[in-house]
Amino acid sequence: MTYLVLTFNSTHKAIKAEKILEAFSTDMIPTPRQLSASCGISIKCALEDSENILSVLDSSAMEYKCYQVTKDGSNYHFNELRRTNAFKS
Amino acid sequence: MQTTVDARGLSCPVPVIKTKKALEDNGNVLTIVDNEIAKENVTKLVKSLNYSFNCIEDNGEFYIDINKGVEVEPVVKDIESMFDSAVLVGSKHFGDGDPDLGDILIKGYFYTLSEMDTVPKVIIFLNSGAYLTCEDSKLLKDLKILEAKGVEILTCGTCLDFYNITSKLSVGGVSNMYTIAEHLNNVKKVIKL
Repeated sequence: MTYLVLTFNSTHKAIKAEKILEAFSTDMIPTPRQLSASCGISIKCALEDSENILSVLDSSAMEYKCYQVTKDGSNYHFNELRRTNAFKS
Repeated sequence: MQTTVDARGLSCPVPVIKTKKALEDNGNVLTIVDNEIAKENVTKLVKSLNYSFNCIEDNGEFYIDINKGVEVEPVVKDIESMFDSAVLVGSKHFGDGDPDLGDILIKGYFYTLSEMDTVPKVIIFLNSGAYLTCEDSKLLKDLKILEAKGVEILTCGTCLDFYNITSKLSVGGVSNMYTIAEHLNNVKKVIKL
């Protein structure tokens, strides 16, 4: 199974992003341990929505990191796809 | 010989207690109840005891004919992947504090639980926790995954009724305090949120 995970600089930014992305089917999830450098909450969304979601976030001037996550049984593989310029990490 | 338990007009958990008592001394018990939740609770008890039963509805009343003689094969669960534990959810939020944060935390907890290889035996929702198993709950997807892994999902019938959301229940079954207390007594560990 492959999906996207978006991480943000703070819990409040993650909540704000979820509201901005209301039109999409997203899930608030705890940030996976492997990515936990940023805030504790992330947004999980479908791979096929990635282009639209990232353009909505960009037009709202949100700072984020976007990972592609592949889950194989209980193993996760993370691949950073994109991070915005001002994202503190 | 058949013993009749007339539990019409009695509220939860009395029909279940009366039925259970009658079954201790009798092989064949006919329990009569006058509402859906009582029927669910009585049939749930019978299933948990592995007795066979036949339920007939007549004009809003349910006639449950229970037969001890014929034992039904118990449902075999994959014990390896289950903790001998119960999760008790007494509120729709996780912890005290900002309710929006409490929403996110409870969603996060159940998402994480659904991703785990080992799951609890039973998850019990009561008081405002009952909202979490109803329509519009953000937890439904995760709870359905847990249910598919064999976790029993139970919501307190008194609570569904109190908040007037009985018809909105979307995952798992309805339970009463009798069953809830039994689960809490029988598991090795109770995790209270």
